[in-house]
Amino acid sequence: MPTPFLVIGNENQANGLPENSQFQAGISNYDPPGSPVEQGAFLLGSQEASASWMYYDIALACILDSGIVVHRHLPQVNNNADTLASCFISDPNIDKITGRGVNIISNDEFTDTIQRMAHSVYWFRLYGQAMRIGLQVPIPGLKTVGGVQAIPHDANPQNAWNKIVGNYSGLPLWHAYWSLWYTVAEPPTSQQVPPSNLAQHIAGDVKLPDGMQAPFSTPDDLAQSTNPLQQQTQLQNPIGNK
Amino acid sequence: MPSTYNFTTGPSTLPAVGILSYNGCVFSPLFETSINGKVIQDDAKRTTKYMEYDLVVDGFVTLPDNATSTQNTTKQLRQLLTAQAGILIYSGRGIDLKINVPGTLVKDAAWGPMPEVLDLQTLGAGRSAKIKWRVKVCVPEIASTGIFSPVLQFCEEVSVGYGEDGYSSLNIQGILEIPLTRPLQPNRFFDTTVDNFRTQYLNIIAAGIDLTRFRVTRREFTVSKDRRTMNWSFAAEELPPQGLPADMTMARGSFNFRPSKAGVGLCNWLCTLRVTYTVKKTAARREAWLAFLILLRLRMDASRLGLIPTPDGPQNPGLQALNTLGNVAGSGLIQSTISMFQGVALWRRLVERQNQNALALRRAWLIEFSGDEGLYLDSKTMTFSATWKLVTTFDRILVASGLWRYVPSDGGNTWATNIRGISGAQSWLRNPVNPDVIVDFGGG
Repeated sequence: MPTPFLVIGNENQANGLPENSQFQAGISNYDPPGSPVEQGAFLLGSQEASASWMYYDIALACILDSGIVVHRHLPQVNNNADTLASCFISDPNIDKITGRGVNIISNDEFTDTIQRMAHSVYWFRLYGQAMRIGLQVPIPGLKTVGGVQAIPHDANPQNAWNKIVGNYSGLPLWHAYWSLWYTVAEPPTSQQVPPSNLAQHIAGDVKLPDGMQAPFSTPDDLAQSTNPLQQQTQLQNPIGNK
Repeated sequence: MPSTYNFTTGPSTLPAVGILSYNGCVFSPLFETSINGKVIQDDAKRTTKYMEYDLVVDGFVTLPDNATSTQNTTKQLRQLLTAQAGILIYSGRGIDLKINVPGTLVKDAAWGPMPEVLDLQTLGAGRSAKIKWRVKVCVPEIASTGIFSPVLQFCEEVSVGYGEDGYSSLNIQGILEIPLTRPLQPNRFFDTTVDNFRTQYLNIIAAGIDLTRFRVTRREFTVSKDRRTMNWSFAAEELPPQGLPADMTMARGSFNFRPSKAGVGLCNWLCTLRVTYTVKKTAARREAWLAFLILLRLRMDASRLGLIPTPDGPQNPGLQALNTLGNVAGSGLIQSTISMFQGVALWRRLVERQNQNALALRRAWLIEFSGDEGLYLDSKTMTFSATWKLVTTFDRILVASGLWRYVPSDGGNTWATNIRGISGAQSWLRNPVNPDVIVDFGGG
């Protein structure tokens, strides 16, 4: 006979167990200890080096000394000094001035002498930084530039480093920086295409496409594949199953 | 001097013809009776559950010998004739009703007999009285087939719906009713309720819901106050294409892929998988992790289908470094691009690419992983989130991200079989509804 007003019955009894059993019917959660079931289940890491770039920032800067000097003459007139200012800061109407910006109109009167004293000198600085998972960043260098041999510059020392900035569960995250100066011994003869971006996987001299191919899709997992042996012309499952 | 016969309603000089008694009250022949019967159908109006008889007794209370008033008699009548679920015997008048007689099978089906009216009109300064008593009894008149015995009715109504998304919803609700009355009139305890039949009958309904296509979203079993009827309902909604993992009562989540940095290209991607699981209580919590892990591996593995373009050309610093400095920066680059054709040529090209991709390397790095455990009242749920970096061309993002790829063991028969036992008349808890105890003040 149930206890009066005990509306919901004993769960153990309802499941054919002793009422006072330590085992609680319906809420058991028996998870035997032992080897973790996840043992041997590895999360997939990239095995392809070209996919390891987090970012790649590279630039090739060009510095040109044209070899031209300007011989300045002594002033021939006593005009006011030139200034880039187009108004005075104490002007009470400074907020209402219109039509002026940087003042480059000179008060002076001169004609200097231009003289080419030497041939042009080119310097090139290949610099940038990159981040890569698992693999060190190879510091890029120049062999040629502008169609001529690139020569490490004697005055500006090259510097570069790789350092670990992160840990992806045993995989080092590498950060690299480089600054490499070059010069040339003869005049450059061709245009220089900027360096490729390894993280974006694209070069500067790529041909522009007519358009972007729309992403491919796959047949549904539950779709019934057609047997290609029976219907050779029926194209299906082009990408493949999992 | 005629013989005198004593009855509960008083003496009579007429002998009893047949028997009219209720709850120990034996009526004298000084009564006339009438019986009105009413067919009580089941809720579906398709069959007769039982007959509801209205027995009206109209007669006189007589003065016992040596008594000056019928007070004691009427007092006894008021006690006996107002009590519910007594033994009713009505015989010898062309119709026999024998209800709740111990040792017989004919019991009232609805906690009766139920006295409904007791009118007393005193006569002769209390030396007699006119009495009118009415009692209702509910008895099955047609022999049970025994198939569904002792259930009185078990019927349902069904609603099939379609949402604006085209997905189906099912609503099945009905009633389960059994006959029930007291074993004996004074008895306030009983040991049977309609809930005793919940598993047997409602699992029949639940078995009709195809769990490979639907999931049960709501179940309610409302037992009436008299523990005799149960209003029950099932609601189910159509499963989406991706079936649930085994042992999960619920799993919701999302998969997102987007450029790793907006505005700077469509070649480096971030893919985020985020799922919230509700594991059935009788399964280990860790099954949420296993379900997530297998889906994560599946989708990350799809990176094999990615395509990494080669920044080839004379200015490739990697290639240049390889040539001039002996470095290996460019050695991992795959010298491949996919050419676009139309029609058959395109598909053939893709099939070739598929074969190549079967041996191709993965192009994904796990770069973020997080878990969110609900606590206390939210401890039913566990959320996992993972983000990986994927490198592929724009045209391959759908396949390389694993979009629309499902774990083969999810959903279908696996989940349906796994969840069947807790989607019917009970979940992991049976929650049996106990018989109630009748609480009354007057003992009726």
